[in-house]
Amino acid sequence: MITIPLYIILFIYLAYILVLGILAFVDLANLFRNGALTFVSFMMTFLVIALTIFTLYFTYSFLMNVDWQQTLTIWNNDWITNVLNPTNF
Amino acid sequence: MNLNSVIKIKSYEKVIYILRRHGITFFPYLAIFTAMLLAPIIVYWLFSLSFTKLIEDPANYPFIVMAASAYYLSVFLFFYSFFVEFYLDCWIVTNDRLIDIHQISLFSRTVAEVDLYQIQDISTEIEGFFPTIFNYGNIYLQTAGAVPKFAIYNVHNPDKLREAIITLSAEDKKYHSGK
Repeated sequence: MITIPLYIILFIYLAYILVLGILAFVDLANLFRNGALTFVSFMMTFLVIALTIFTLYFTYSFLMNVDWQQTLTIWNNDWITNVLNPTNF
Repeated sequence: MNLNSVIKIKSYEKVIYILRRHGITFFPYLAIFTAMLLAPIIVYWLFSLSFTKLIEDPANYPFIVMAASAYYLSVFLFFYSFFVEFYLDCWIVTNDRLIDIHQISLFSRTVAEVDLYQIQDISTEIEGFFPTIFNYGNIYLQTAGAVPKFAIYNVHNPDKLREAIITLSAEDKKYHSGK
């Protein structure tokens, strides 16, 4: 059985969010650099930022009370042995 | 739109058209975006039928929340990137030249231009149900310049634009031949 602390998943999640943030910044920079700051591009940027804030807020509120020291099982041999167990058929 | 950050407008040059693809051509992206938003709900429903223990295990709860959050944030970013690529693709028609700005991806962009007097032939194409209904299509230009073929894709009212480009090209030819 392989287990990892939950905070490792949190760090991976935060690193992924950072990468997404950098890519979103490049998108925004492309709009600025090409002088495409119009009402349409502003509204689309506003919509995406609002959805992102909404998602991050709900993620935070769902994870507020989580104990990050608890472990998560990422591999358990029983998953395979139980699949092949005739009692499961 | 501030064009000076993209191209250098000459002193005698006047921007006639800034063309973008018809808005209706963005709808497939919207449909994909909507489907991607709904996908986790269907996946969750299927998992709850088959892997009840996995879903109900409190140890997996934070992982499921973070996975869903990362997925949705990725979908928003992909949607925004598609929009930026769609929106930055444009064609600028001035009284002197035609400029094609093509945003290929987040980190790739090409800019090509052709002088209007070098245009030899222009044709339009409106093909399909939606292009016919919403009056959008492609314009193809044959040129004598470094870029022999030029295409403007999915623009509104291509026939009217073809006529306008022919007129502008004829005026530019007169100017360059000194008449």
